[in-house]
Amino acid sequence: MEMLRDLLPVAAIAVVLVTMAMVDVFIIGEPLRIISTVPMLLVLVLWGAATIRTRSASNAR
Amino acid sequence: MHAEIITAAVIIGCLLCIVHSWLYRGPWDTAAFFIGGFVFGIVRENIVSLMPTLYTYPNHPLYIGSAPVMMGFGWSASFYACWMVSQQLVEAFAPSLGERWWGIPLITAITTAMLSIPVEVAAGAPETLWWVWPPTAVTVLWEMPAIVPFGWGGAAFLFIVFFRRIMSREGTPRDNVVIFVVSTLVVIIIHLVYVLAVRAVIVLLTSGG
Repeated sequence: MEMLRDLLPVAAIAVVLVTMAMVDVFIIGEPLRIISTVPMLLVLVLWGAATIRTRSASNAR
Repeated sequence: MHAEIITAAVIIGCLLCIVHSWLYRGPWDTAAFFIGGFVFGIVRENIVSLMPTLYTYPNHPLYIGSAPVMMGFGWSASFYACWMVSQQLVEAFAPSLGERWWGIPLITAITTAMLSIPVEVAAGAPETLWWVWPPTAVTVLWEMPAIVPFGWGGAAFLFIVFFRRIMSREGTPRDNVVIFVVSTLVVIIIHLVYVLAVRAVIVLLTSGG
């Protein structure tokens, strides 16, 4: 359940990012526009690191 | 064109956020956040449609007034998902920031600004035109105006500050929900004033003084 808690909002963001990337490629026809997703992807990478760090800290306790 | 795509993505994203909120924050917080978000989105976008310096929404499948129905879900889903991600970031990397009233809202604002970029880059293309800015808008990345990340971030900051403050006040949960939903009208006014101020600064800076 804890995993579910962490993943649902991230899944919502992922749905939007994937959809926008597919629109960039298949509808607009400019794959280069995908670079606009990079800042948010970096946030999600940070979120992954934050989740691991928080879990490790709570397991250590 | 193809506005069903953004409509579907936004509604799916919003449903995931509502489920999360219902499971972990309870029915009152969920009602306040997402009803408040719906009111914020629909009322705000109807006001925006009357302002020639901002944008319009052609080609959407469903409207309430001049606002596409999806905007009732889009703002709240963005705010909620970015708030949850930001809370995790603050908890892990800067717990002391979370103790300040502006800490988590500020990180949520930055996260929401990051989310705005891919959405706006896709939304403004000639092949989509989900929303259309006037030709006078100062663009920075394809058709994305410079004001966009500031606009999204500012809205997230205000919405989360008001939500946290009102939902933590003493009083019945039902009263807090009603007060928060009504207060989103105040958030809209503050946000639009902020957006026009930021726009004026951008115009000033890019016009060479």
